[in-house]
Amino acid sequence: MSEFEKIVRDIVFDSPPEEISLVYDNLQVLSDGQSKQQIASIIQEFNEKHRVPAAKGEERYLVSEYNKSGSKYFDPVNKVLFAVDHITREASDIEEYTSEDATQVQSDLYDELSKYVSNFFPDTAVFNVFKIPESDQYAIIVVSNKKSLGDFWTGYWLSEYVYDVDGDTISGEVSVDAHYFEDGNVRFKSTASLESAQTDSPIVSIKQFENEFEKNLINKFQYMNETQFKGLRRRLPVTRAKINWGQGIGNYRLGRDAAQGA
Amino acid sequence: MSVDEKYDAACELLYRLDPTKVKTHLQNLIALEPEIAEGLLSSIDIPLTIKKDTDANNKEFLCCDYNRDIDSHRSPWSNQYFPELSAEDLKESPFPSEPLRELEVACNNSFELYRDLYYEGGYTSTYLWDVDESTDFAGVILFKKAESDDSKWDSIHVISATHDEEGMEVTYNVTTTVILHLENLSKEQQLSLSGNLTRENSKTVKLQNVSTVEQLVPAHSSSLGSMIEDIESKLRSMLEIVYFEKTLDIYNVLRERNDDSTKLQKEQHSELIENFQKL
Repeated sequence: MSEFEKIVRDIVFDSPPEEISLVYDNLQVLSDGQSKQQIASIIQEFNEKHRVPAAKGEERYLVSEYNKSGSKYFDPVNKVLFAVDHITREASDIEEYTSEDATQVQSDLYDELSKYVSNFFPDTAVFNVFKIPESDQYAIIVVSNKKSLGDFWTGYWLSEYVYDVDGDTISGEVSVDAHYFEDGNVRFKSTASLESAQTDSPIVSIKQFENEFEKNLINKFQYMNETQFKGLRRRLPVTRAKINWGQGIGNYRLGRDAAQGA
Repeated sequence: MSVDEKYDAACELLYRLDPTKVKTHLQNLIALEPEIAEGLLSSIDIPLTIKKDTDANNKEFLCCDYNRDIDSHRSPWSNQYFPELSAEDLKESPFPSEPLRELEVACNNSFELYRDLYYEGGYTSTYLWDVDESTDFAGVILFKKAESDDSKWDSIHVISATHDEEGMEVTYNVTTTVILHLENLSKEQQLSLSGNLTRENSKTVKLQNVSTVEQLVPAHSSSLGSMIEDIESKLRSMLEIVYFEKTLDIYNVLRERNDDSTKLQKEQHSELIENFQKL
């Protein structure tokens, strides 16, 4: 891997997922527009890894290595085959997908997942169930992405699980990545893993795990604010008054000096 | 593309990429375009480092690009560079003029007090430098508090003080960046809130009954003191809002509960509004 490719990869893979097209523009400037194809292919890799949704009108489709077919992607449940512009994230060239039918397990998981997502995520959330090639496993994926660049924020939710039909087990991970950038750069990230667990109802297990994730998240926020943040800098000194910076400054004693009777 | 365009693109990237990795990204961007190095290094704030002043009972002082010369940093306590520079290098090293050094000492003393009252620990250092052989000056006021790797605060105030022609008033400009890192890593869930906010402020102060250098020192140090105190108070509130409210607001639009009980609440709420509108 060239030094250039390594650097571009570091930058792309550290970007807020909803800001990739802006990162692409900056990288174009920094590389004098000389490496468009190379940068675009790293972004494609990033999009597949993050299961980024591609849109065509109201329709939104996930891309991943599981639903790739040549240069296109397929959605077996909705029976479409589509191409994706990885910079704009637009889907195009949509055809009917006929090579393979969704399995019964896949359709059932999809229907149940659909109910869960409509109850716990905004209408724009995208989900799917892909068969993992040459296995008895299914990838269950939910993506919820939102942004308002004018209000200086973007956010990305990705949860993904592997359901093993033979063993009736499920494992996976949730990750949340939010970016706020008005006069600054603040990043909030949280992840949690679901260790392989027996289940007779994978979607119920996912719902329980994600509700737990949310509960822990809110508790941790509270702890960070009330304990960690408050421990760094006080709102006001113990005296509850601002410092008298005039002639009176000499009347203050350093706590340490005072304690030592200095 | 011109160097200026590349510099702007690099700055934009640094405002998008994960702030916890700012050092790596800075190095990478400089490797892509070495000509933007100087601009980036002087405008992008990174967490402060700590050194010990062996000429002042090993008292710690804060280091950044502003008190650096070659690979050494000047301590505000003994006014010496650490590690020690060769006599040859030292001839070229920046030091504040004698009257400004007096003000630097006074500011370090008063901000030690401020640090103790607000941070109850941590470190502070103030560095000043002369501007154009006038009474104007510029400087940087630094604070650092790190309870552990889980919670760290760095505040960096870059200041300038400009006198009017009659010497009757002085205008202070301050650009403040606070770098705040919080994380909570447990086995079942990792959470990190990290980044920085920057704000600019300025204030003009009348210099009443201030005619001698002895009077200027307390006048400047108390003006700067109250200004920094106000700015940090405001930024602390902003940080609290951005870190604990804005980010959670974003989370709440990503996963929002639409189950029956909230749907019912929403319906009841809109019904209530409709009824009000009918009145």
